[in-house]
Amino acid sequence: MPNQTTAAGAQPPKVAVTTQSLSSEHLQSVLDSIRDVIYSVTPDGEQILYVSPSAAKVYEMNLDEFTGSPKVWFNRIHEEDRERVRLSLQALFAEGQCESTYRIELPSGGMRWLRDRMQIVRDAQGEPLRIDGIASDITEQVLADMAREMAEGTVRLKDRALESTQNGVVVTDMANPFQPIIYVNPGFERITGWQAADVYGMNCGFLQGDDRDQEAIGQLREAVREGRECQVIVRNYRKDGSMFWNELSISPVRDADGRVTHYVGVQNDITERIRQEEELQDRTERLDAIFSLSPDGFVSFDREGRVAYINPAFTRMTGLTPQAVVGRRERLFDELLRDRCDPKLPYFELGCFETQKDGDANDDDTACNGKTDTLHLLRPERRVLTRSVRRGEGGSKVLYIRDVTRETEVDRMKSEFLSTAAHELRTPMASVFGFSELLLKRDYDEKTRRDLLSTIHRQAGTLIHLLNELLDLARIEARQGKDFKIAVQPLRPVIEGTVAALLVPNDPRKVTLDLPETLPHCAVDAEKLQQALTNLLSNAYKYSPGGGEIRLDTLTSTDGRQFGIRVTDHGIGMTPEQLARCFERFYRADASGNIPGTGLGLVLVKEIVEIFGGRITIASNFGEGSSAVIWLNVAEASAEAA
Amino acid sequence: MKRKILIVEDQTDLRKLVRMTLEFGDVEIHEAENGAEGLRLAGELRPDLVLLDVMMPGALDGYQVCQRIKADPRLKGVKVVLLTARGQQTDLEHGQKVGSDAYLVKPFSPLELIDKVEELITASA
Repeated sequence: MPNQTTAAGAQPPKVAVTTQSLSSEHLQSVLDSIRDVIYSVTPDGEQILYVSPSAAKVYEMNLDEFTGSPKVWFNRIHEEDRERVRLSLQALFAEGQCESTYRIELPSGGMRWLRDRMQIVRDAQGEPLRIDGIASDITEQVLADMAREMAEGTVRLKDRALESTQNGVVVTDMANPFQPIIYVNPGFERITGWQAADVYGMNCGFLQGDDRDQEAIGQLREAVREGRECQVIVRNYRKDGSMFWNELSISPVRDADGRVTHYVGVQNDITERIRQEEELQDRTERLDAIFSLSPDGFVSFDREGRVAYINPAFTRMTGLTPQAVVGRRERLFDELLRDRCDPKLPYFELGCFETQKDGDANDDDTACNGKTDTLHLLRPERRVLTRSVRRGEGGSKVLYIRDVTRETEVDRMKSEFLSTAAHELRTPMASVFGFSELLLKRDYDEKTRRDLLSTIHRQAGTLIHLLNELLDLARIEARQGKDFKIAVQPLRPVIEGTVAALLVPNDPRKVTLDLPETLPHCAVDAEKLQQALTNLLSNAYKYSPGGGEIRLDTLTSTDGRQFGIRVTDHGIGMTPEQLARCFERFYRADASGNIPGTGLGLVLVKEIVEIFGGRITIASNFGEGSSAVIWLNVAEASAEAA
Repeated sequence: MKRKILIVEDQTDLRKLVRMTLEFGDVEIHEAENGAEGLRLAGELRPDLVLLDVMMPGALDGYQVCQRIKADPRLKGVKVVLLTARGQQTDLEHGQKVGSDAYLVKPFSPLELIDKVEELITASA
């Protein structure tokens, strides 16, 4: 320190002073008040010649410690920065001065940023005398810079996000009463087909074209008026005029005073999604219609194995309502169904269908998926159902149920009919075959021979008759009357013709015909009605072997719309049990074979009359006789006097 | 001693056929028109052989009559031949199940019937 002669306090300080006039004391005071650390060290750095008091604050240690251990300041430099500091010290000796920024570690655990400027002071010979330096604490500035950089980085990221998002983004200026667009991103350009330059300054409303009458637009306006966020789905139009569904979210941007300065809108083109949804809905509606109209039952299970849907046909068949089963687990569903089935027959749980699938890898998919079993329901009524299970890819399952009650019954009846028909043919055949063999193998007298031959002939006649009636019946059933020549016609000729043509061998009785003056017209096939009446009349003869009147008369129903033709005999009659079964095929009130017949006569009458739209009723008292009535519908305005 | 044969058959002509076929030599022939009567006569007469129609009207069909005859210890050794118009496998099996000794399907040959009857009666003698 050069000149120390001007002591402070010797003279009152002057306004303008020179460095020469600054006292050592004054200088000390200035140095004390500087926050930067001013120091002087020997060129080798081993000895600290001077350090300003601020070092105590900056380094958080006593000044004595600096002088005590000369390298202490270097050791406090952050490890990562030491190499850099070493390099700048080399530069210092080469160039005479240097600047280095580094971090120091604090005993409290914190860190400071220092900017250290040093220079070499040399003597007259140019030899280094000492190193002087100022280290400034720039921590606050560095932190501020870092914060700013981070903030700037975030803005850049946001910009990039805006540029790259698939959504359209649009910003409008709400300070301007026209609310013009001031920004759109590339997503907006892609979705709408408009370029940013085309739309800046325009109001967003142009996207709606002429399609202004949308509920969503009202919602948007209201939200903007109230400065709210809002999400709507609105029909918008591209530059080329094509419509797209815009899922639009808008939210306000406010200034410090809470005033809305901008609105940001985010667009999402959901046209394809809406189309798919509509398609799905159409498909769902179609399937709903199909399922609810289907005569077959459907039950679908979701992936969790709960009943998701049952259709009305399933409810009709089983009495199980959607309320009772939808949402139920498969096991409970099985129980409900099993409860309705005949307990004597096995019930396979739905799970069995899958076990079999898993168990047999060779089984092809259609075989196990399409596996069908049969359920015999007792409740709510007797039904036979077939059941099969289809499994969807996602683990869903559909149960398909068909009501085969009628088919099963028809099958059973067919097979019973065939078996009974065969039996009925075999019985007369047994007589024909057996008696003819006896005649061939043995010698009989003439009387016996004649007797056997007449038995053979009679039984062969029965066979022919049976075959004819079987064929008649088959034809009527197969054609359901399509080959009938039905015409509205007077009944009198049919009835009188039938009675006249009736041939009953070995019976002298005549039919008592009691017809009124006028007979109505009816829609019938004359030949078939004649066949039906013949069957009734021949039954009357056959079942009254002891004689008695055979009478044909007529009846009219009380409302006059039905006309009855009645055949009455006084024969053996039928018991109530026999009466109940007399329309069964092959049923014979006389089973001995003494009264010839096929058991098909009344069946044929019934089939024929029913094709006319009429019906047949029979009343009978055992041992007293029977009375059968064919009821026919009277044709409109058909009073006939013939 | 005369052999006793009982015919149980609802059809008059077929009873006549069986009677005429078998009625020669030392045979006594009895007839019943239905199952109940057949069972009663079987108990009374203790025949050597019963010719039994399967399908008969009334409470008892041929299978049931056969089963009862075979189950009756007093009728031990009585042979039963079923006559039936139903010749399906299940019917034949049913016939075996109720214990019948033979089975003839209608229409049958009278000579075959004779063979069958003689075979069964000889075997039991």
